[in-house]
Amino acid sequence: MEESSNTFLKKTLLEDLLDFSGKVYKICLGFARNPWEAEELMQEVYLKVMKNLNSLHDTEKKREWLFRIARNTCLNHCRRERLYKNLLFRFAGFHNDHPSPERHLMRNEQYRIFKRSVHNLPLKMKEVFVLYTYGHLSYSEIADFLGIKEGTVRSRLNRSRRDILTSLKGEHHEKPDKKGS
Amino acid sequence: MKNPTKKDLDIIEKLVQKEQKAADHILPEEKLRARLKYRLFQERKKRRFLLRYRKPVFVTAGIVAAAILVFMVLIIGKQTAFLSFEKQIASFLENSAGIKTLAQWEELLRHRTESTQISATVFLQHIRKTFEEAREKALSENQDSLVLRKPQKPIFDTKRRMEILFEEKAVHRFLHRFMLEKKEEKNG
Repeated sequence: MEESSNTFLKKTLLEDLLDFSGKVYKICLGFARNPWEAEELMQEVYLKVMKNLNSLHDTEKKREWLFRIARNTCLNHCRRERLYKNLLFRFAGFHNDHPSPERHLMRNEQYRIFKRSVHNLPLKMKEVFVLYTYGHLSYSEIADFLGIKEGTVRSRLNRSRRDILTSLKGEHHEKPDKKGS
Repeated sequence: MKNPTKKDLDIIEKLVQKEQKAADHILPEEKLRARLKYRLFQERKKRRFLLRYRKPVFVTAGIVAAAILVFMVLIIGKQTAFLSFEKQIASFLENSAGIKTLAQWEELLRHRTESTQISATVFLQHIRKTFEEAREKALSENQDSLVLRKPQKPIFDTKRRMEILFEEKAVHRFLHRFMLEKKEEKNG
């Protein structure tokens, strides 16, 4: 009897957590190179969630718990990816076999530079940037979530933005010069 | 670089929005959710299938079955390992020393071959060989040795039994008939 009620609770909890799948997907999208990779990451996150539902004691903090798992999974993915960065860049980059309008964005040079610069950010800056820009979390939420001060969040976000803009503008302006030369 | 202006931030914001829009077009949220649910369902099904066998009844049954299997292996192993072929024949001879009728012989031989999983032909060939060796040995020892006094223990007890058996006409007749049948079977 107790076991069945426990299973029911877990099921409802998982259903509740599934409501955040959109946000989790967006966070994963920030860390991933493409939507398919983001989907894989999201599924990985939810599989971890399902396996570790017992470790969630405070159900009121389920959202934070879910985002923490998402962030850890994505960071692990990034670390793993860096090991064989070159290989992935060549073979698992953007899929070019799908002729559709959204491919236009993928082929957009500015977007590609942006994505690469996000990808090249240090992990500490990257997580703040993704959680703020993609996950739409507030400064205080990110600070609580990462266990750092709000000021640190702001400075990290600022630095990451600066880095991205530098590479965006720099590479964007360099291009015509290169062509010209 | 200076701190980013609002215009700069808009560039990033627009790019992110575009990316999210494109991603939504490629993998719509409903599709994404459905696929996620399906995968979770599959995983849960797998786990459930395994969990079914984690119940105490199955665990106990498994342990009992394993124990029985181990005992059976040990018993069968013991039978074959500790009872060597010579010992089997010796015990066979010892047990059958007083048997004289054909029916009794047949019955005993069938029982022995079935329980030891050895074919009757092989069994009989070994009996014959043992008989002949034992008789020759006994005869030679009897001829060479000079017995001055009566031994306290019967030295040729087993050998004597073998001799008795060897001389028994019933055994000879049985073996002869058995071998003939086997030959006929072989020749078709």
